[in-house]
Amino acid sequence: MKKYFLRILLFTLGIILINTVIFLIVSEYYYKPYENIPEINDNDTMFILADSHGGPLKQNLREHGVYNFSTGSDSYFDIYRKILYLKKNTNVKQVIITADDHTLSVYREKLNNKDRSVYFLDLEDNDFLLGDKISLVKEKYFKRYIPLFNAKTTGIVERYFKSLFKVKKTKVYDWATNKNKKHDSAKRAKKQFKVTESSESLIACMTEIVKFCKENEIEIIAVKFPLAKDYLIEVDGRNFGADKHFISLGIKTYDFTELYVGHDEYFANQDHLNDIGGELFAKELLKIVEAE
Amino acid sequence: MFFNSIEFAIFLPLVFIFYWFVFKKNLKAQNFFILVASYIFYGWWDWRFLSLIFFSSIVDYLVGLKLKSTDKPGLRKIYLLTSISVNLGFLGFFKYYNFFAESFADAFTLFGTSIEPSRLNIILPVGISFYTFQTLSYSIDVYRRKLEPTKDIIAFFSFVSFFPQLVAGPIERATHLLPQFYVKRKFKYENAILGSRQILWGLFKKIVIADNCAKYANLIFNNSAEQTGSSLVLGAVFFAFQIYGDFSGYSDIAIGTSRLFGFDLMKNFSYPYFSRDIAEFWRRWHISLSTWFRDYLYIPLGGSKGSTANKIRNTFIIFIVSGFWHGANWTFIAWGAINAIYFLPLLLLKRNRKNIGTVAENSIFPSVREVFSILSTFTLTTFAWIFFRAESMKHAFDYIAGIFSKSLLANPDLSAKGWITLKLIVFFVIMEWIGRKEEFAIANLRIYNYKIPKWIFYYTIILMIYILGNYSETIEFIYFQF
Repeated sequence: MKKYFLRILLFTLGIILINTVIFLIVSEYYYKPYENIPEINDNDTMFILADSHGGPLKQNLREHGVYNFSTGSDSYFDIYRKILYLKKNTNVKQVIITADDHTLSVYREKLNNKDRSVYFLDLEDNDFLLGDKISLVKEKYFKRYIPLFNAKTTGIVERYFKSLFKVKKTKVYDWATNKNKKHDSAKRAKKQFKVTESSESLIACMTEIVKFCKENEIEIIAVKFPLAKDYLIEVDGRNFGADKHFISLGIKTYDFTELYVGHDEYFANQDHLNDIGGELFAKELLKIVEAE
Repeated sequence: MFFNSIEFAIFLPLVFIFYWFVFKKNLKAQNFFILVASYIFYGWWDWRFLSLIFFSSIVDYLVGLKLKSTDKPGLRKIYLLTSISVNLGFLGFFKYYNFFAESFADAFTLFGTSIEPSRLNIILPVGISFYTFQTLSYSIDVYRRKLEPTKDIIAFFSFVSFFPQLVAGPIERATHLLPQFYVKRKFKYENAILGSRQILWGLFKKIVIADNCAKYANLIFNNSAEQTGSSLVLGAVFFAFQIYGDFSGYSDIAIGTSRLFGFDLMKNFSYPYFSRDIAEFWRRWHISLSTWFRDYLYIPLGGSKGSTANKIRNTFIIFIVSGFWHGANWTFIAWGAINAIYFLPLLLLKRNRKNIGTVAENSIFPSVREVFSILSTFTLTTFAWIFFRAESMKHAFDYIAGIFSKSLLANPDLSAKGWITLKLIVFFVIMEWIGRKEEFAIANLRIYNYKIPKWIFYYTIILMIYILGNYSETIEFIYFQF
């Protein structure tokens, strides 16, 4: 028995070593970029909560008390957690939430940040996804500190090691000069609208967000971000219905999808603004903010 | 609780420590602890169905005692029939009710009368086919006076619910497993090391081989109408390795875990894809179920004795029942019937026991003849798997028609990761070939004679599981649904 335990101990030490290396890589390149947010101060009362479409807005409206809390791939599950966090830690009064056509897609149900946004939860929180404390502990601590058990970290480690041997090419995102607009738009539309059914759990989560905000006197403004012309043609009106759902719940919804049609110079790609577009769109949002 | 889950990674060491350090001195306490651990293991999935296991166990325990109390043949038969009715009744209700309701409705439609089948929204309790057969073996063996019934209720309940093999086998015989609960288990270093290796290999088979193959098998089978013939062939091959990696992986983890607790479970797979004919395949695939049907159905029916008509009848019965055991669908019945058709010529020509030993036992490589036999058997088996995997008979026939189309010779439409999965299959087959004389592929490799290479090998397998495993979706063990 003693001999077996010694062997198992030795084996476990090796596993701990591997786990530590993975933990360090994953913490640095996966968790920290999500968790290290600019400090929120008392003047910040309005928060933008979107996925990658919110990224180009940067913190351009900070002086007006608008804090951009968007992260690429954020879903309503993640947005819900961020609102719980904001309620406890800030002077949040209003939130601008994405209502884009794709946000209720089944693919967003799978591709999101739910393993990272758990960081914003405390043990006493009633999360939409993690019903009991055990699940919360498992997601927040166990998977974080034992990344060997977190399936998602595999790809991060793989990319990290590949990057050590490959020279990183800087991709230039410039939609105006892109020669494959039609092809790229079609590819993106195919990915986002692969199925026709909306995600039921995301709809339920969205409803929960509205309920929570109403209970806590946080005003919601729903926004649809601008899209490039070629992409709008490819999407051809397909929509999982986040905007309609917000409207049905009595939320003010602003549709900016066609705001920059014919202005491809404001886009990085078919459905994301570039820095110039982001700056201009921030001014548009400011009009809403001021009106509110 | 799944073997490849965080919960099990915590559960197993805890149970191991309590078992060997807290309850070591008292056999009854140790058995009781196994029982509690097993019920927690099963209840983690759905505690409501613990009542089924409990009820099944109590019925067979009492039937065993009643069988001992009387010598009257009629009464003994009634007791046995009680056990069979209760166990098969549960199985029939939970697993086959809807199938029979729909099949009856279909039959009425054939005669021009349309009736709406009354379907029930029934959840299939995990592992019901496995523990039902295990507990049945007890009643039958006691009835046949092959086994002395036990008075030790804890030992009996632990035997029925023993967590390593509760939900997907191996289906143990009472004559083999139950006596192990009567004697004090001793910790043996060699056994524990072997068990640990077997768990490691089982996890590799499940997470790296089966789950990666599942991704492409599902993709191809679920969109079979849009696939080329060559892709459909690949889809069937992927499924062949998915089901093998999945089920034999589970068995390896179950057997390995049992070894850690001083138990010896029966072998369930013995390199079936190296079989040189179908008879050999069935001696190497899901051994615990095949031998169960042999001992409790085939032989009582007369087995391979008697007239040719009897042999044909018995062969078809055993294969079709085996197919039906897997699930309430005509596709499983067809799968069983196809295997019966494969097997019959060998039986009738008395060539079914031609290939008994290990293939290429005294050489590194197989002969050309052996390669041909192995590939032919694999092709036949894979063809039958199409029925096993298909959603319906129509799906299976369409799939086969798709294979035999002009696009059979076209380049298969497979992503870069799909090709990596094929390379993993090749690696897996090589490892299995190297270890084919052992109980499982990595049981006794030469590398274990050298300390550092041995450890490098272990960690390589761990890293392969971590890096190459498919975690994109939760893929349950296939045999849980049976």
